[in-house]
Amino acid sequence: MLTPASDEHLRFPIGRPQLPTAPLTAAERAPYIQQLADLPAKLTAAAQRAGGERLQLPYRPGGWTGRQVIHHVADTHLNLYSRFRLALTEDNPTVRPFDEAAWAELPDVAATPITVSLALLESLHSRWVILLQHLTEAQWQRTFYHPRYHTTLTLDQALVQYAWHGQHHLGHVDLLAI
Amino acid sequence: MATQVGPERLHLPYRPGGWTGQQVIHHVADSHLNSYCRFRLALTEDNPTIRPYDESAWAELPDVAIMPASVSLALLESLHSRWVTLLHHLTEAQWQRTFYHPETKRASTLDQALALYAWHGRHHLGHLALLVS
Repeated sequence: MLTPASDEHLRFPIGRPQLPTAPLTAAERAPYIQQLADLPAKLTAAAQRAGGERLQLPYRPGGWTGRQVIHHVADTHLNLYSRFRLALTEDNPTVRPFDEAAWAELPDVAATPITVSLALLESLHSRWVILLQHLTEAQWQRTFYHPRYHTTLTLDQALVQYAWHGQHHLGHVDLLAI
Repeated sequence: MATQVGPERLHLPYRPGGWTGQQVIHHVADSHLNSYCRFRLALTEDNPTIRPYDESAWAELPDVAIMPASVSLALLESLHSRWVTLLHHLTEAQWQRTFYHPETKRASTLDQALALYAWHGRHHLGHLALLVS
């Protein structure tokens, strides 16, 4: 029987995110933006290393398959991209959580090749990264409210959280590529 | 259609005071990624309240002027591939599931949403057709 502690390294292969408490400088932001820019290619490379058969396996006992992880990253990042746009066009908007476990069980996830979500991420991250590269210092301090966690995040904090989210799931696919 | 219009005319508004062809294409991508999420919300929650967004303000964000239309066309290709596969797998009961739109204060079945969003795509395709010289 796995205890939460014993599979922490599988659940959180790159650890848990550390959110900044003060505004970031442009130099501090750059590596996070770069992680988002690089994620589609890195996820594609990791998926190729894992191979089609291993992507059908869960990355940990009871976890999502590699295929579910990749479709989940696409679905999540569609939402995260939208949260940035909401925060830039409304004052401290309340964003819309979604049931990620239920979304990963919808029938397209089993039926669509992962190449579709990898291509989706490539296009989506292109638009997202260009947007991020054009934000002013004041815009980075704009906020949104997440009703499930009862937290208000600045876009600086969201950048760190969402860059982490991509690396986190890349770590899961990497577990299948070993 | 964007190819028929050509890159130069995509920078023109399709009507006086309207969006440029490029804004229309980026808008369709932004709009349909929200529509796709609304289908998923309706399939995983009971009559969920969906999240409207300010489409005019979104079309003025800086990426819209900078990104080539081809990026959003590729995004739509991938997104619609997943969306259409999802739609092909829905049961009759699932087509009658609903979501609630807080701005129009209406609940829509997925049957109704399908008709609306299919129209939405053709509606903006019609705008681009106006730009073909």
